Amino acid sequence: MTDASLDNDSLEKLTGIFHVLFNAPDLELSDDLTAKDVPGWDSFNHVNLIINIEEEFGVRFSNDEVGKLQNVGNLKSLLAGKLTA
Amino acid sequence: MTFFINPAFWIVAVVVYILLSIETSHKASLRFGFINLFALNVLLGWKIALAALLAVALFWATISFTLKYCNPQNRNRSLAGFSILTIVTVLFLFHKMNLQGSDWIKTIQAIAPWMRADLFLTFLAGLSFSYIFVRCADALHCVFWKNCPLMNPLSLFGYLLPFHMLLSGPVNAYEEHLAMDQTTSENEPMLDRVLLILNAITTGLFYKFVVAESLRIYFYGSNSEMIVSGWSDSAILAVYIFFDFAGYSRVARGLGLLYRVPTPENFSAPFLAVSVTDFWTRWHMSMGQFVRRNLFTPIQLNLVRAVGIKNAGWVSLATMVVSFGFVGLWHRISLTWVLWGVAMGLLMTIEKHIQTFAMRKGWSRSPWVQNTLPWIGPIYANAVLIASVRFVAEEIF
Repeated sequence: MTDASLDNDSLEKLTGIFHVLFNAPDLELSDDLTAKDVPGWDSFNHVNLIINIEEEFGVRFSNDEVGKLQNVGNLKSLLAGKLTA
Repeated sequence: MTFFINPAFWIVAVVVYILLSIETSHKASLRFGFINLFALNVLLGWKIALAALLAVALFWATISFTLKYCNPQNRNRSLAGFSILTIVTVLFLFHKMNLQGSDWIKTIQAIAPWMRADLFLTFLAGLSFSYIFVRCADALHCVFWKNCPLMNPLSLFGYLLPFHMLLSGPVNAYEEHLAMDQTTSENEPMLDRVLLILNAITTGLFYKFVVAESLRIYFYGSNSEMIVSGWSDSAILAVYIFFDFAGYSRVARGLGLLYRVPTPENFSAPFLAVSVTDFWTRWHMSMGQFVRRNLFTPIQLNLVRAVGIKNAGWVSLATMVVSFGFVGLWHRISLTWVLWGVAMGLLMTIEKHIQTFAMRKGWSRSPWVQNTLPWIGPIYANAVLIASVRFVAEEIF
């Protein structure tokens, strides 16, 4: 994980992906949000989430990176690192 | 399971704790590996302990030699890792075929009288501990595909054959075992830790020796086998297996906490699961996590990338069937267990489609569903559990 942070535009896009995938328009992406807090965020939708993010942002995550994600904060900083690389 | 009624086990458990308490400059994983060798030597005898150490050293040397010639950028690295994994898998499957006393062994001995079938079978028996096999697979995945460092042979020995997790797991993760060398415990409240350890060990023993054994003796007598001849037997067996297995896992967890050796939780109120998918996140959790990190996620991720996210639902069918087909085969090489795995995979795929449909329609947030599911869900999940226990009952023990 890196210490980079997402800009507002990217954060908005990321939030939009969560809203559509989990059909939860009110969901707020706090850093400590985990799969347990979001109904439907299981291992199957975790993969869908990653693929959606890859397609939206044009990045690619390794299997290892996907497996190590613990919460939305991890995801944000990983994505920010990829976008600034 | 008889380990726990053997006083030697508990004497060894205490001695291991005392030895681990002696501060040295060596890494925690290395110290545990060395002391674990002593524990296995006392519990299983020096011949088995030495044979196990040599087998681990051979496994380590094979990986080490392969890594030397395949740097992380080398495309042959994956192939090399896959080759070692295949060899380990073939040996595992070979043993799972229960060759002892079979005609196959007699035929081999007729062809090659010099071959010591007893030694050959003993070697294979090492892999009969299915937990050692999955730990080997996890180690190979981490080292070859995630570029994790390879532990030294003694640390690897402590990871693959930890005496407190030898018979019934849980499946500890290679990366977590590696991380024990970086873990510090300076700020950890002592009382909290002691209570956690005592709670895990005492509840584990209570589950195993009070609840599970009382159930068995009450329904089947002290010397009788648990035979499943009706639905009620299936239900009793399911409850018995839970308390037996969860009891063992909790004791192992308690000892792991005591030694500061990563030993994952294995059960979390599985009878309260609201679906079969939920059930498998609560029952034998460490195995579920192993399957998720080593099979489900990598396969699903790569297949969905290949065929597109629109086909993710269909891909999940294949991934689920492969993942649970493996779990079935891990239990036993038989058509019954393969069918069990395929059925579980299918059922969970169907559940996934229903859940996705309900989520898109907004039904999953309706108060009616949220109030009813905690009641109807466990009835359904436990009915599936009882049916599946009945299906595989003949081949559980």
